[in-house]
Amino acid sequence: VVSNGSAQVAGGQEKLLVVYVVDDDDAVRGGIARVLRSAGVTVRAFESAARFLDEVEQAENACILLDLTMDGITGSQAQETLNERGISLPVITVSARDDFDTRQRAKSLGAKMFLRKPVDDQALLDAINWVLNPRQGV
Amino acid sequence: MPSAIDIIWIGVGCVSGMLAVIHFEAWRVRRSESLQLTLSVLAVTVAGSAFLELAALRASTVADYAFAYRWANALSLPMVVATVMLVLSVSAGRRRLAAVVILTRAVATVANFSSGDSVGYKEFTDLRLIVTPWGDTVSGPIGQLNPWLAVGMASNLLLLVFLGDAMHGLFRRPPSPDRSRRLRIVGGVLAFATVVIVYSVSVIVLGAPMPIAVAPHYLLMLLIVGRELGSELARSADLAAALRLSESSLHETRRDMELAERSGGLALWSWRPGSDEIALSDAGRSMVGLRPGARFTHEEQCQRLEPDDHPLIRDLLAKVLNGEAEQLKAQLRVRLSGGQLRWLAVFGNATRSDAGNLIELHGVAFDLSEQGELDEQFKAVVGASPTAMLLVAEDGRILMANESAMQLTGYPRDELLGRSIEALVPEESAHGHPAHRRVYSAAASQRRMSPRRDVMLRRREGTRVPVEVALNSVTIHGNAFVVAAVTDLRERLEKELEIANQRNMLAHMSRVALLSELSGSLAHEINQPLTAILSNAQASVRYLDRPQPDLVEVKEGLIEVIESAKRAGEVIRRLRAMLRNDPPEMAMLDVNVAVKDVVRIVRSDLIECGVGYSVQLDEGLPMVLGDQVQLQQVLINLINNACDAMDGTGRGKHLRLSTGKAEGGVVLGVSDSGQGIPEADLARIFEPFVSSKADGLGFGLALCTTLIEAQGGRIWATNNPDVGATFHVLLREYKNDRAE
Repeated sequence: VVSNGSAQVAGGQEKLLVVYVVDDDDAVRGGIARVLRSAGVTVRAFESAARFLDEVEQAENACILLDLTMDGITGSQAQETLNERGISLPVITVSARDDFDTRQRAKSLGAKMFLRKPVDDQALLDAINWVLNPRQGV
Repeated sequence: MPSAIDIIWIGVGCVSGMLAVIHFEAWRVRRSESLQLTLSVLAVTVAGSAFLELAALRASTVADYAFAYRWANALSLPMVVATVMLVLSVSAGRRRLAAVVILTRAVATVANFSSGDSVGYKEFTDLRLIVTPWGDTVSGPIGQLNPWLAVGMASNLLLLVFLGDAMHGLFRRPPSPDRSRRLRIVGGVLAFATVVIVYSVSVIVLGAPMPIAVAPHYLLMLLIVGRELGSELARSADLAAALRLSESSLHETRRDMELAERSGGLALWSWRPGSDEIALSDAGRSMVGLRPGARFTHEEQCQRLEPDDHPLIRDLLAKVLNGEAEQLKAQLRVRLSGGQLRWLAVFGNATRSDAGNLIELHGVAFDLSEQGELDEQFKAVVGASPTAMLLVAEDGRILMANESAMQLTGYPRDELLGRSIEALVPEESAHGHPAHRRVYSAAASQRRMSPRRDVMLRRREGTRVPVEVALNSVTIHGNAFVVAAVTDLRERLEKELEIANQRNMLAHMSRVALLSELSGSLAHEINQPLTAILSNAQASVRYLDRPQPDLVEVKEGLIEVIESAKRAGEVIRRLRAMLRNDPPEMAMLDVNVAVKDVVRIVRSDLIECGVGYSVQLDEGLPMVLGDQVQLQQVLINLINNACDAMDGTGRGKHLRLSTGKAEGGVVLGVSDSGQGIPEADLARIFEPFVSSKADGLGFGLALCTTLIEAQGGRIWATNNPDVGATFHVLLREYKNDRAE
């Protein structure tokens, strides 16, 4: 299944797949980035929402893994900013807190998926696949 | 026309008779003066011998002469006895020699009657006429000498030896007026005895034509001795007069004193060392509750003087006895038969011998009862005080103790009083205690010593009791004493322990509640490292599964796994510390570390609640004394409160945590941007059940206060100049030397 997923992600698209990883926790960001790279995904990692918002731009074949609980600009605020700026890259929110409010808020701000930390690699890759190709979905 | 002989001898007889009467009367008045009796006897014999001699001198027949002569000779026995007694009675001469003189004279006297006509003449053959220098004609004996005369002569000679020896003995004594007087008496006797004996020998043995004349010589001797005694009598009279004078002035003094006694309630007393009794005037007797004339014996003293005062009295007496003090001043209590206490002020003066030994201690005492009753009431208060009170002398002996002291120490009164205070100090510190006492009494004459709490008291049966001791120096009549107030801390410490236990239990419950509120945040804290671990581990597996495994990536991933696993362990450890119900551990801690830990715990909640936060830590802070878990609990509580205060204000929510130096330690600030606290409530909010929150129990801040104060710190609130309020927590600086 894993290799399937990777094949789909890696080979199913002509254009290069890019995943933005936004998390202010170095260890978490590093771990998620490493597991995505090991599956052949190109990763652009940001340690803060501010840096991410500086660099993000509308693109094909890209999605955002957004941590919600961050110092400074939080995940939710980043989502609002993306919406304001009209950037419609699919957003997968990731949070170590799994409560109803958090989930609700993320969804209302347009998150395509909500993942609870810790995240299994396959679940993560499936989620990325799904947000990029919803019709080929699970 | 009477002749001169008649006049002289009759005169001698009469004068001697008169002297006999005078001396006898003198002796009758003062029976102790046996000398007067001796002189009286002597005078009687002189008188007798004067008339017998006259009879002999005027005898016209041999038989008349022999009769008078024999009896005149017989009188020499009482005369010699009286003479010897006279000398002995002025403490001169040897008794044995005196006995020999009297014995030989007695033998001569026996011979006088048993051998011939007399001891002088065996037989008178005739009379001869002797013409005296002044023309009188008197009778003289002619006869054969008696060989027994030798015994009479020996007796005379022994008398002279006795007298000479007495003189010699007197000469060898140290000179004094008394010796001179005795010398004059014995000397006079010796001189006239010599004259009489030489004269008699001349008449009898040598046959000198002279009348026998013992009596006139003896009269002269009597007069000389009498004169000496007369001057003695005069001196006695002077002394008696002086004595009468001093007696009358003594009487006046006594009268004055009695007046003073009656008017001023003054009593006189005196005591001599070794005496069992204190001599008291009647006023003194009534003061101590004795009948007039009753003796104030040692037994009575023990019974009547208050037992608490006994050590004090012993102490003062010892000082006077060994010469340390010349005066005695004390306030003593007497227990009257009705049980009532009477206070006496006692003053005494020492009279000493030249060698400095105490001869007598005498003085006055007066009743202080009115003052004493007040003091007694005060003492009753002290006696009933729950604090043990001890009065300790300079040498460490316990002089007084109240009821509480006896209960606390376990000693009965009679065992506690007089005991050294060291008996109450634990063995290991008793050795150095006298030195401490000396330092204290030298330094702190009037200064009150601040109570010391870390003190143990050794009870009679050896157990120890934690106590608080306050010492106070007092000076009573010039003597330094220390009053020790000893408070039993057992109950207080037990209560404190109980309170601490309750506080800790409450703190724990509150922590558990806090953590359950923080569950979202805690999940975040744990899930973060778990995420890193899982992702890195799965990435490493993927790299290993590749046809050509990328071992560099595998290794890097595993290193990350290790790091994150450690971090997760830390989170769990911190969480467990917060959840555990351990007694607080006062230790050295870094406030900044505690704040950082707390920030980690609450961070995700703050973000979740939309609270911006800033942390300003002073990096050069000293370590503080406290329990980390409880400090963090307080901080979390304050942060929670701050967040609640900022809810619904419509303003930006900002929390600021800060640390900084403060006097005596470190101060930690938790500032919010809420509505602030009404000035009136700034102090009240720390009381229990005062809450600004609708759903609050009002317990958080009260608990915070309790926890911080238990750590020796302080907590208070102020309003910020712009918006919101700040809660301050002061923590005491940690010092290696815990002593104050």
